Amino acid sequence: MDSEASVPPIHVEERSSLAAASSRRVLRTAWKTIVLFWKYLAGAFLCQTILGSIAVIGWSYRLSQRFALRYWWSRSECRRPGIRFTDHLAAHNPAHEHLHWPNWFSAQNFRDAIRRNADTSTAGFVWQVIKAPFRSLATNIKIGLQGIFNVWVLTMPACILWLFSWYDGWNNSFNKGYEQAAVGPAVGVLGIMLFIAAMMYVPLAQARHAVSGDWRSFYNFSFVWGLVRRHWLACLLLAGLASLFFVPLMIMKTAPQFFGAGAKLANITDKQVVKFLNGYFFACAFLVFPLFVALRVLAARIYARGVLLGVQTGEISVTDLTAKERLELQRLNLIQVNPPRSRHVLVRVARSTTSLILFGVGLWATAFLWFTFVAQIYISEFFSYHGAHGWLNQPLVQLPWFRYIPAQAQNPAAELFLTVFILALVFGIPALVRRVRKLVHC
Amino acid sequence: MSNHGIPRREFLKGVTAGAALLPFSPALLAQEQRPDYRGPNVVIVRFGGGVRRRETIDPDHTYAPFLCHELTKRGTLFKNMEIEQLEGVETSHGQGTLYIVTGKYDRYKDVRGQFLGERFEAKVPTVFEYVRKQFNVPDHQTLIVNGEDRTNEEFYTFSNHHAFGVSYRSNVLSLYRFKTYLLRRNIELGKWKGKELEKKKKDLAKLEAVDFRNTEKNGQGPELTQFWDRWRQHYGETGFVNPRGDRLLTELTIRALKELRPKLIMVNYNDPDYVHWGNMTHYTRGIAIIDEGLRQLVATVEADEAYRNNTVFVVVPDCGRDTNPLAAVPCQHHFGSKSSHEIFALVFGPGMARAAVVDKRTNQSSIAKTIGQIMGFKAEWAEGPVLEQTFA
Repeated sequence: MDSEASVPPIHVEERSSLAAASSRRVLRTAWKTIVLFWKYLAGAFLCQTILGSIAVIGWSYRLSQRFALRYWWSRSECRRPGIRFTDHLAAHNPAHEHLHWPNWFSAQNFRDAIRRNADTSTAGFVWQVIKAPFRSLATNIKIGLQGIFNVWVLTMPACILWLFSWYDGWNNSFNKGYEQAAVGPAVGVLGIMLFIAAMMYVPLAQARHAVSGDWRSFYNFSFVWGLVRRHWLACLLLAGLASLFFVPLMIMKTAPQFFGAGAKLANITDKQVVKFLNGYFFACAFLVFPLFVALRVLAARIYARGVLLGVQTGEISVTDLTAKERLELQRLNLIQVNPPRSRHVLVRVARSTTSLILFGVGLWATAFLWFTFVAQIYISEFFSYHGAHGWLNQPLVQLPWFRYIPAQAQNPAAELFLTVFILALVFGIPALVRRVRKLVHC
Repeated sequence: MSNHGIPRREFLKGVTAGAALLPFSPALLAQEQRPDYRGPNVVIVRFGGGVRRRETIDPDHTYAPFLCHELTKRGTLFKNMEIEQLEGVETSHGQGTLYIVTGKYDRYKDVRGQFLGERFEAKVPTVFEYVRKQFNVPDHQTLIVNGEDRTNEEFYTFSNHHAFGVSYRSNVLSLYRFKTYLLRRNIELGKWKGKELEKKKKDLAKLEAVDFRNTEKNGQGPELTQFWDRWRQHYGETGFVNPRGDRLLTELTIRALKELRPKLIMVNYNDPDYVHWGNMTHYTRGIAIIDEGLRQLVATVEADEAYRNNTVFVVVPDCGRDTNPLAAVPCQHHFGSKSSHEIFALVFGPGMARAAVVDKRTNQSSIAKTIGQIMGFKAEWAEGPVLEQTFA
């Protein structure tokens, strides 16, 4: 039998439409690759400044939210062959913000953002067009500010204690102040304990903030701690990864101490130092940025899974969810409580005792992993001291700002004050005006 | 029994044993033939902990004004002294100290093979050994004054050289020695009993074990023991009353000059080294403390008739420090950078050229031979040439 005869004939039109579809796919893949590369490049670049790294936090929170929604969709009946996640989102809102990965600068769904509505005035439309190329940037910075504020509330006290423990520890050695010998180490130990305690909570609290889009939800202590307790193994994994990801960062942070002692660089000017280190830290950011985002996204996935399981087993009440979470889970028809079947009392006692022991062990193991994280900071500062910057900002937890220029070449205080000034101008003054207007109207 | 109260048999036994041991004790034999030392006394000030020229002898940036503005007028400043850039020659405190006292660069390794250990032993004689072999100078008059944090440097008092060694060692003043003295004394006086005594004995054994060559089985000798007795009477036993850090070294040296009358003394200052851990002010403050110490030492010497116009000071750092433009704290010293090899030396005192500045490149290994020339011994195993420009 002729093999070709068994193949059904293909019409020319079908063939051309298949070719067109194939070329569209290629184009779409090429476009996606370009966009991915752009987002990666922009992310690494933004890690070089304080303001930029605030935007990176905001962007990573928006991405985390998208990943959480995608996770819930993937666990729902809405996931069917041929239907993509974006189709599901578009079905509810054609201009849904998560149809694509979050933008760095311009508004999501840019064409919609600059489309003039019938009731928009000319001035309003002009303002809309002016704002559109920067709307995502403003959103990223706003969310980032909320994010870093929350993280600082819980982690900054520990970082400040570290800074003073280092200062006082060596001050004590220098002055041979045996009478105060305990102060430096005690402050350090207190700081380490505080940080470990905070980091048991912070990753999932960050995820809650990211997924819910509400910065206040960061402080739902009982809700978040409940998730940590039920998913301690995942939190242990997250702590392990954070500590592991921190190793190359600490090496990169310390490396200039080693290659800067060479004769070639001995006589370079401050301007040349800044130029050289700008290049170096920009290159480093190509690793820092993805590691930072990976940790945020992984935390969001753990959170999304925890919430879904909690809701479906009845451990989390629907009323404990934020409005956004409730809406998304309802849309996906995931709010179905299936309480676990009742078991014999002895089995229940055995299970709860075992899980309590396991949780205790897991908690200690997680604490140990966060301790290894802190130990890396102390060790790296032992090899090369970076001033207050090295203690007060840990790029995988707080700002992903990875640029350690020596203060004698370029003092970071100038950038810090400029950032505060810009933020006050862009967010503070409009907020103040709104508040005043509100008061006047009242 | 003899008329002198010594049994005849005991007397003969002692004489026989003494005669038999005499050929095996060159130091004992030589002591009788060695002349007394009558040359100038020498005070070596290790401007230690590693310092750069910038913060010491550069008038625009100095934190050592006495050294930079006053002492340089009284002696010869070697502005471009270096530690030779040779394979294996490291720029650190222990190594630098040995380069100074032996006049020879060497690749030093910890004798116990410990990681990051700095217990070195010189293969060629130290200046202390040369002095004591040539002249009738007791060990308590050749002294090293050492800081409390670097016990390894307590044992740079003698080399492994077959013709020199422990018989010609110098003695040491430090808190480590004081603590050892205190424990020995208090155990002997029966201050502790039972478990506490056992613990104190263990503490003493631990301190004694640091001296694994076991050179001081019975303590530091009567002069040093009396020195510590007076120290204890003055400052007590707590360690909370006496000065601390490099100020302690100054105080020990001043007391040693008054009480032990050393002919050759080396003060191993070290405070600037605390810059390693980030507080730049520890470095500059350390330099200022040494500078103040120098001022006090010079004043002490000038106030003492026996030392005035008869004492030469040699001020030299153990090593330089990096000038690393990429680091927040630019002055480490373990990377062997050019700057960490760059040091200086200042020699002043009677017979030395005054207000002279030598721009020519000179070497740290020349210090030992120059001290030899000042004191009248030949440091034959030292490498560097004598710093001739310093002699008036």
